[in-house]
Amino acid sequence: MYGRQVVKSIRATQRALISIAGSLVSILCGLIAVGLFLVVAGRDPIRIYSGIFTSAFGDGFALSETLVAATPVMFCALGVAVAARVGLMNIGVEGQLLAGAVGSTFIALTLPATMPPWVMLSLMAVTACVCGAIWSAIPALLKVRLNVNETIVSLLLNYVAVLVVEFLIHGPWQDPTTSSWPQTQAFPASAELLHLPGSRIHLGFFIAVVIGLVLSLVLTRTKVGFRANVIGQNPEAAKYAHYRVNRYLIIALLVSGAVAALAGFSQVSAIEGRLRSGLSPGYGYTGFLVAWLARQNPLAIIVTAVLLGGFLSGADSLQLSEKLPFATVNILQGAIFLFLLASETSLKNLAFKLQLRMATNAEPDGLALLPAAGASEVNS
Amino acid sequence: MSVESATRAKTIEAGSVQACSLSFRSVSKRFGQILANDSVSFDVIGGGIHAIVGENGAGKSTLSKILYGYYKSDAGSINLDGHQIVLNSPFDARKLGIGMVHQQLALVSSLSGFENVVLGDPKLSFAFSKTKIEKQVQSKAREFGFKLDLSCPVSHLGIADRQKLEMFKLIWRDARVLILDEPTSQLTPFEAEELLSIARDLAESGRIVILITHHINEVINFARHITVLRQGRSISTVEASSVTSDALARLMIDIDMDSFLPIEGRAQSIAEPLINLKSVSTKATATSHPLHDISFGVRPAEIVGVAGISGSGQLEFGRLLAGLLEPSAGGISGSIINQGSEISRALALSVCYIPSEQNHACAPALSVAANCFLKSIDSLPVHTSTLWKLLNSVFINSAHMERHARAIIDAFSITPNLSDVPAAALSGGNLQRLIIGRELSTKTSVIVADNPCAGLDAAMSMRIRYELRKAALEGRAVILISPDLEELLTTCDRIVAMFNGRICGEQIAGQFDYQSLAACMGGKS
Repeated sequence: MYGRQVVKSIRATQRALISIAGSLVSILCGLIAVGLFLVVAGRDPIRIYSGIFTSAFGDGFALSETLVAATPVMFCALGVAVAARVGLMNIGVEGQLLAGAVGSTFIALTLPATMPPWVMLSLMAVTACVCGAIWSAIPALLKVRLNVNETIVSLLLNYVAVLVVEFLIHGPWQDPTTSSWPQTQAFPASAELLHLPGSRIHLGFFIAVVIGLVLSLVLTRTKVGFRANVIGQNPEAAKYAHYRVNRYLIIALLVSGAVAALAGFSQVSAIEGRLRSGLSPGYGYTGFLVAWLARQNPLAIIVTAVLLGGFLSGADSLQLSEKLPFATVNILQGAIFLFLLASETSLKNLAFKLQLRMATNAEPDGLALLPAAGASEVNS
Repeated sequence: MSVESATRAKTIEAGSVQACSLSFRSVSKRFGQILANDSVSFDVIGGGIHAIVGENGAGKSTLSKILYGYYKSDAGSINLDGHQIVLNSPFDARKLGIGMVHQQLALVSSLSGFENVVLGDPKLSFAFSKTKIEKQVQSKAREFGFKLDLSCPVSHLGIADRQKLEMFKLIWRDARVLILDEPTSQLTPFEAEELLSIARDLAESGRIVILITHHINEVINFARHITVLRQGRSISTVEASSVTSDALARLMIDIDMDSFLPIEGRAQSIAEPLINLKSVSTKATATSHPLHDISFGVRPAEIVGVAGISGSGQLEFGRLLAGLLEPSAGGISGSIINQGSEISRALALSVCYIPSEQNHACAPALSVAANCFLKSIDSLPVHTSTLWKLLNSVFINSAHMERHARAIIDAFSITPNLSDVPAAALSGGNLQRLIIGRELSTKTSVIVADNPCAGLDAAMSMRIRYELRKAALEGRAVILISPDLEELLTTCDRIVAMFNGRICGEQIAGQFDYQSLAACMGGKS
């Protein structure tokens, strides 16, 4: 029994290592591919990459900026992971982030400024979640009722969300004092999320980490998570086991939208202090990439979000020091994602082969290909 | 001499070729630690079908793939017409006139039968007259007794015609050795008979026809010689006329079969039906056939067989009973359904369903343990503490899950004997055992098993039927859906036949009549 346990944990570790290696190789390939472009464009990729690294992780300030950038990415990636668990691709986290930002802004601008901060902030967070959930309810209902592809619907709703925000900040919510700027009034002090003293790191980061831990527990240890996993792996099997598949699909997308909306809440409340144009430079899409790099594992998302957050904050300073457009980072992310998708199949095959070999080596008499062993003791 | 046999004689004469001989000499093949073929030696005797029988994993497929050049044997030799042949690839085999009809047919479904026959034919020149060649193909098909429509797309042909087309393709290419790998596994009894009699004619005209199968009865009826493989070794070669099906099964599986013999003369159950369908119909959808006017009851402690060729509505019938399909008309009642409760929910709770499609019943990427636990997720070992109960109603108890999986793995001898590998790592037969073990462990009062023995070897099939009968003896009701009439006749207390979404015949044990049931399956009643 003891031996079996050891073999088991070795196999589990091995599986994890294969996944991590796949993600790291994808990032490396992405860096190399974009590096080639930079060389062609007459830049020195080594210098640029080391520039990104130092301005992302070089000193205390750099690290704090990285964590700030990682916060919305982490929320979005966790949202993607919840939906992915039941097999749904929610690429609409970007739109749900904006919906959350709109919801929070509504509360911050409507409630009297003299509200106690904890009432104000909790109401803002709750409203953000509700708005995000409403935004993701659209693809959820279309999926369940009419079997419309949730990826496409949620993606298209991102553009709608951007336009809704633009409408609000150019129209009814525009700050009357600076009428030329597309932004709302500054929030009252009671609507500002707590910061770590002396830095821009805010409570949102810690909330995201806690949500990641809770999601990890729920998805891997509870019956709800187990059912969700079965549904994600094979909805047919779940139907045969009489799980309430549609209910799970809807709830997963609602939770997904709500978690992503918290990114919007924390951005307007802690960083911007108002709703303005260009609130998210694609945090949702970066979150999608993070969720995929982390294989939808919430714990891995926490780490990966910090890494990609580093890319974002590093690229910010790159604009100044190297005169490179911010889009460079988008290109880099796109390249990594391509390599990641390409690695999926080969990784699966590799993992499968290794596992079979492990199974064979560990227990020589327990082969998958062996003819029906034990047939002779059937009737004893 | 009757007219029919006269035409047959003519056919044989028309297509005669010089008789050839084939022999295997100590052929061995090893895959890793498995010895798939262990110095197999026998002579293939012409003049009639030579069958190779054995349970799954006995080495039949490996041997035939060695003969077709797919695998290279590690040791031993194959002699054709007295000369040792070297096969490095299927290409070499085809050059020597060795052809194979695979289980998975290799036809292009959008092309016509004729086009499939000549596709890739090396004899044809770059430009050729289509009408002329088509005429040649037609006349050759007639000559060999293939009744086939060669002009319509293959996608319009039934599975039996596709099998015949594959066989004819080999004849067109002048194959002298034909390997047929489980050709009848998807055919009705009549279709199988037709196909096998064509094969027999080909064999009697001098070709070597090797039939690989695990249907004991068709071997005895159609083959002339039978070689039995067991655990990679050739056990013996016998004449079909001198062997009984029982003796053949014993040769194949080498276990004591007496405990598996059918339960004869059981009294008909008279208890109140657990489920009673009254004139139930369902609507056709893109993926399911309609059911018409089904009236059917199943009582405790009986096994009811549902016969029918694939697509006759038995799939939908099973899903209906399992609560996965809503009736559009008619009523469902029975003792398992409480007045006023939702019918599909009640069925879901008291019917366990083994679907014919394995991949509908498991999540391949999840572990074996998770797949075993899928349906028992709410079951808990008895415990008194309230806190413990509360925790276990929310969290997965992994020790409990492991115990549950272990019990199923051991009871159904699933290999590899590991609970944490992904279910995808199991072979088809082992996965099927997992699903059956899981469903039977749910202890529901009704079991619906849709073709549960498909793809299982003879011993495991018997084991499954034994489990189903045991369940019936314990008072559970079993509905066994199967296209294999033989299986139903030896297992069931009652058989209904389905055709075109209707139940078109019913017989009870003691009055079973193979011929009339087979006719019902074909729509003639």
